[in-house]
Amino acid sequence: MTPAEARLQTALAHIQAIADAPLYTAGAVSYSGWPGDLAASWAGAVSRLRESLARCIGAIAETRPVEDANAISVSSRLGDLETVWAGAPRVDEQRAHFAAVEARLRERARMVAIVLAAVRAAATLASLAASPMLAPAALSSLLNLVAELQKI
Amino acid sequence: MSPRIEPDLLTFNGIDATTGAYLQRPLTVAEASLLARGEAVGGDHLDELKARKERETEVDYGVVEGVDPKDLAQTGWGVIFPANHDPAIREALAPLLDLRRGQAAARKEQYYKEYIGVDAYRPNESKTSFLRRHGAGPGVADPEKAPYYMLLVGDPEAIPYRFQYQLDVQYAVGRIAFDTPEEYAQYAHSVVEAETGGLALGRRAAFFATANPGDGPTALSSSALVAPLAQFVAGDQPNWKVDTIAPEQATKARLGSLLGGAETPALLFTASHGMGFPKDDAMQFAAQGGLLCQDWPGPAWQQAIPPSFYFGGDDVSSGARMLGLIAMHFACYGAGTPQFDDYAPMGNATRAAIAPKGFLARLPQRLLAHPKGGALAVIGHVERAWGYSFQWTGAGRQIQTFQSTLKRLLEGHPVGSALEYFNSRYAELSSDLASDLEEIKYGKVANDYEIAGMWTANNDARSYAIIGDPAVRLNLAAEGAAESRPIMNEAIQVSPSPPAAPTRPAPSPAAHDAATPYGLLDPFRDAQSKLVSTLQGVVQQVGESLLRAVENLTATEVRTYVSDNLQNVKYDNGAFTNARLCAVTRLNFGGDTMNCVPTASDGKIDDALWKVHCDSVDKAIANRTEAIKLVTSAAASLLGVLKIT
Repeated sequence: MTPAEARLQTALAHIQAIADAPLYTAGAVSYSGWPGDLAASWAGAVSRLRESLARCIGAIAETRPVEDANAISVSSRLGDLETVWAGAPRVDEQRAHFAAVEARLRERARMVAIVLAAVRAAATLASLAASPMLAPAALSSLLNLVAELQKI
Repeated sequence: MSPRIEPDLLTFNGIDATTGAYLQRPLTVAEASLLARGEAVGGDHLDELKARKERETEVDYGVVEGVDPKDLAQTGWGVIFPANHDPAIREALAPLLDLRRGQAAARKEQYYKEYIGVDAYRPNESKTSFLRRHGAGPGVADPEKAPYYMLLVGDPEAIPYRFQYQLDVQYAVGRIAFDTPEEYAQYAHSVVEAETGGLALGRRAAFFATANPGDGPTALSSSALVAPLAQFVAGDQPNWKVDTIAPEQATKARLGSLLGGAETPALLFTASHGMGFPKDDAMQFAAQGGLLCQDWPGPAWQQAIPPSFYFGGDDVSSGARMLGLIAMHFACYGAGTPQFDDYAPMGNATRAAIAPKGFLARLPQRLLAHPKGGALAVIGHVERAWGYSFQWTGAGRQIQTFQSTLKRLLEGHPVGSALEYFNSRYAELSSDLASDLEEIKYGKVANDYEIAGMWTANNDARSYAIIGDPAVRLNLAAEGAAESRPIMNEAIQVSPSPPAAPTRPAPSPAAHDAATPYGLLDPFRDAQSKLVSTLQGVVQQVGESLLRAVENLTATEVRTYVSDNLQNVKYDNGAFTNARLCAVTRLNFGGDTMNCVPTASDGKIDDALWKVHCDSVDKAIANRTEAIKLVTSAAASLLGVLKIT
């Protein structure tokens, strides 16, 4: 596993935990100047969630060539593959390069998993937010979720 | 034959719609110099202007050093409501405010501010008093104390133009004012749609300038302002398509084509006379600031100007398609009109009223609040514009000011940041003018040409105003990508103003549950309901993106290249450069496969390369299979989540 994959794996685990146990009651926000403040906090959190998800999706879609001494490859998110070889590579050079490409693809798959987990969590929190009693805790969970996404 | 331009006469832009005559007769240099010498700029505002001038060597004039004016998380964003505002307007703007809160408060919560209620703008408050009340002082904008981008919400009666001018010296300020909450909602919706809904404009800029027969001011603006600007943009931004509309084609019909019609660009610059009406004329609010087109036969037309000669707010087509447009109008009253004549000498106690009250021009209002998706901002002139200022021999930098502003806009700066050059120019000219006038007071012999030129250039630079959110920018398609300009069809409805939020302690969680009838808590329940739907909207958007990705899974291509020097290879616009394409395989979703096989110099198949390519194809097939599995499982999973909620 590459360092990037490991980092994403950790982030995914945190986000998955939030998705599985949505009520993050520790440090739950208060109603404060209710109801305007809570509504404003919610709106801000949703907006940041939208931005964070857009950034993650952008990372999935972005084109980053995999480069080494023997070749440069680019794989589109839909599976197109373009490769420039420095002459005809030896089998071991070829194998090493494809291993690097596969690592990049696994990293991308983990990003997709993160987006999915975050969206599932957001949807669950939305249903909880319908209850005034649960709304502050749901907001706190959402903020926690956004914080995790922003670390990526 | 071009009209002769008298070097000793300073011409105002603007035509009186009721008589067809110029709004203001040309002034001699000596008269303008006398007017300038009667004007008194002083006190805190002059100190501020001088301080700004001293800082003008800094790269980013308005905001503290080290802050990127393109990043709202660094600059901050604030909205200023007047005291006693209609709560329905705040409600109507909620989507825009949510968007800006998310951007500006991404790192620090206090970088997003709403000056509302007790914090709102108070009647007759100066910029200094307002900022002091909120813990900020004069000097460069510091987002730790007050956001750099400031949106004023309300007409000039509620928040005066003078406050806007003053605040604009250090901050990036814009204003919106509409007649109904629905129009506020429409504008908010357009900005949100432009920034989050897939708007991708082609890189097209249009320059529209009239030169009416026998008319000096438009001859000047078309030849000495618009032509050099268009030439500058074409040279400076080679990836932009620049359309210059020749004066004889600058008709009302053509302008309609540029403002929502088939030719609507990303950026539109116009220069023309603006329409003016006498105070209390029934048409003043509706048509003042309309753009007089080439249809006007020139000053030989000595009678009332019919609406068929000018383009006003009522001429914006109901089917106009202009989401994302940013327009800049060099025209008298193009942005708005103050109540009192700004050009009366301030030493004179009686400044004439030129309108029953200050107001915004109808044209930018209609452009911004268009129900099919509106313009994001209009930069225009408050008061009369001078047709001379950019021609003044000492005003070479005035053209540079326009150039620099357009350059920033085209390169993606928010409109408020782009207009900083005008604020800097205003600070410089005001400071110099005040110094010269001070010296004249103590015996220096006045140079009328210099004083008059400086004064007109100063007035022009000061009076440019942004109608719209100062943080909007051009939303452009990637180079080479197709333009996408969505049409918004969703009708905007604004609910009646909710009652003021009660001040009370937090409710006990045990006292309520989701099924409890709320009574007094209805406003809270409404807010919650909206938030839930917003959050579900996020889920919906992601789901739709995934479904689109599934639809695009039609074919996979594998390309194999060879290069003698990998260091020279670059990947641009979806293809490698400086590499030789040797083999291509296309795998259609239905199973068809197409191959281009590599050959060696003897014409036989290059087996070694073909084997490498075939291995790549195997990898691509495996990758595509994984991609399909991932996306379909994602889509199914998301549908399940939406079903649950």
